[in-house]
Amino acid sequence: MSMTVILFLVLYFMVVLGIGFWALRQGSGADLEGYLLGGRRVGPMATALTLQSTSMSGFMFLGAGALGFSQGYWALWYAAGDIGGGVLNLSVIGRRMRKLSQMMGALTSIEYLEKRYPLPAVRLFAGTLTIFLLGFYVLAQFIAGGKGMALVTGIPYPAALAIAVAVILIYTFMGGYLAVVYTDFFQSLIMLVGVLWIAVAAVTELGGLTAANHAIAEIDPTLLSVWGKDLGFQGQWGIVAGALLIFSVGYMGWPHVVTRHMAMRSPATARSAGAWATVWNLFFVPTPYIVGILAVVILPGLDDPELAIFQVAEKLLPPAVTGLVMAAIMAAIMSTADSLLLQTGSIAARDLYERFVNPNASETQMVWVSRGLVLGIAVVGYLIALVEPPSVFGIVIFATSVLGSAFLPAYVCAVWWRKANSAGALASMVVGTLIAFVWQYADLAATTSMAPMLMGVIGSSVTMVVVSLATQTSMPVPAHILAAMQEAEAIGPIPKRLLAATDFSLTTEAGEVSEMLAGGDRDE
Amino acid sequence: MSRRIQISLIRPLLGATDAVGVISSIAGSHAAQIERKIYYPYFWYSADCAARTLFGKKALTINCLVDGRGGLGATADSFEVDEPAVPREAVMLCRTGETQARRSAQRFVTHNLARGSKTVGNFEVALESRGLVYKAFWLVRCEGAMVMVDSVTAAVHLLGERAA
Repeated sequence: MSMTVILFLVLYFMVVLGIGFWALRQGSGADLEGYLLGGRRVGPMATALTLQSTSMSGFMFLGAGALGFSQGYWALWYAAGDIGGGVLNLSVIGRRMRKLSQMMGALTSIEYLEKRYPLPAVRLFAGTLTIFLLGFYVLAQFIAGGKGMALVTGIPYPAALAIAVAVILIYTFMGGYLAVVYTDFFQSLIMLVGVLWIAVAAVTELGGLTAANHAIAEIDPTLLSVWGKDLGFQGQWGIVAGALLIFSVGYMGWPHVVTRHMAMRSPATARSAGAWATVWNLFFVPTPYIVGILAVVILPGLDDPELAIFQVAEKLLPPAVTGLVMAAIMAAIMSTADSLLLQTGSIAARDLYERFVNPNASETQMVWVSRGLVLGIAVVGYLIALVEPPSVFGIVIFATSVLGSAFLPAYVCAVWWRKANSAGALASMVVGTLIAFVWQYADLAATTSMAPMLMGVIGSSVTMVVVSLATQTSMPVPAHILAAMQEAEAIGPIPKRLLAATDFSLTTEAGEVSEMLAGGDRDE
Repeated sequence: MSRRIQISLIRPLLGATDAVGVISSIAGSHAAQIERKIYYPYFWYSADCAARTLFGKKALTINCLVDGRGGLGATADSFEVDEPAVPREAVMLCRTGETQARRSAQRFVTHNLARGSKTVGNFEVALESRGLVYKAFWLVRCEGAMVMVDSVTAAVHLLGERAA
């Protein structure tokens, strides 16, 4: 392994540390306070790119590349869904969920589910399932980090894995320096430039895209089709639909993604941030898949397809650039893992421990619950990653399929359908989970040509409707929730610009004032 | 003659003319007019926090306002407080208890510190109650809609159809 690569990797981390140190040592601390307490001074572009750098994880650098290497242009079905998923999510549930969560006083996405569907079992099931599945997602980051670290440094995989897990744990517990918005923004740019640089180098190496496709055709012409290697998915539109849906529609079922709606400042800001995120996605998302496809020619003897992007970079780029790109990839992996661990810890502490075990729990007790769970995930994750590491792609697709199947109808119906009640929500989550899990575990996609997530979402959606309608009398939606939903809906005739300028932080006050003007203050 | 009561009011930065100007500039309409002014209650806490980072503890003081009717917490920039006498009917009554408000403030500040710093850490948060304060909101009618304008931040929010 080139010492230049390691040198530039270390240099990159020193720059990131330096940015963090500078930001934290500013005299007024205003930026730190602003970022720690909602980042209200952060503009839409920085907001968008910091979110993207946190979202883009080991899956993009290992899983996407591996899929492209293994299945050719079939992989781009996933990219197509991923590009528009964020905007779709924002458009369908963003604004309404922001208002509804504010009016109901929910701080987390799991708490929001119970407040919308008032049934303790909803929160218990949702919290437990989310922790379990996000734990899998974290496992994917551990494996990605360990493999990447091993390749970059030459350290054996077990030791590299241990280092990766340890580093992730350190700044999950200590935090601060990598959380400043400037470093996330800087990382997002490095990631984008880096992955595009790899792609351009790969295309140039092969003499252009046309020449590259000809070379691929000589190796295996089926890789050029959209039906995968050996045309394995030809005509299987259920599988294609699943590939498209998993990152487009599936985002709406991810508790750790929809929680971002709860921090939205205003529709105008959200739209601007969404536009920037889409532009960034257009360039970033397809690229790792394409590099994986080109690796078929560049690295014909590649043993581990998950290392396609890393090894293409190592082969084609100058050592200094390789070091920077590797560092950005590692930082992205670790940043995502840190965010996921924070989510699971928060759910365990607030949504499970405080809610069901100890309602009077102190902040210290809840911190220890969080830390205990994070440590547990780290230990279990390390052992699994060490003994029998599953593929990064397989893990992420599994977790995403089950999350989307379980939660998508619950989050969408929460804001769009007034008859969606607690019984319907709980039943839909259970049914969606079971279908997606069984479909995956029993590999029913191979015999039915229907993707697990597609079947899971269909099953959970039908269950939501049937059970909600069947239990409208016995378990009606409470009046205060119906009132909140009505308030959260678009009203008008309204000047659109007024609506776009709405500041969501005033949603609760607006509701109280509206009620007062409509019916008078109940206390008078 | 309406009764007037003395309240602790967050010093407003926007007058009636300014509020109309905000709405007019957003809506692109000159039909905006002031409907009335109301005073909304908040519990005011000063939170001394210590956020742990890799470079040691970072101390910061935060103003936290807890909605006196909805019970939700929010942070606020530093502000001055006046003691004017205002019409009784313009003052919205507080519905949240102090115990609930304090708990809400503690939870809100801790949650946001953890989320913002991406840390599973024990934040030292010391809350000091500064009492009940009010914020003035201008209610502006524009093109059939009623909009409330925050007299301190100039933030706007449409009011419900029933209010319009």
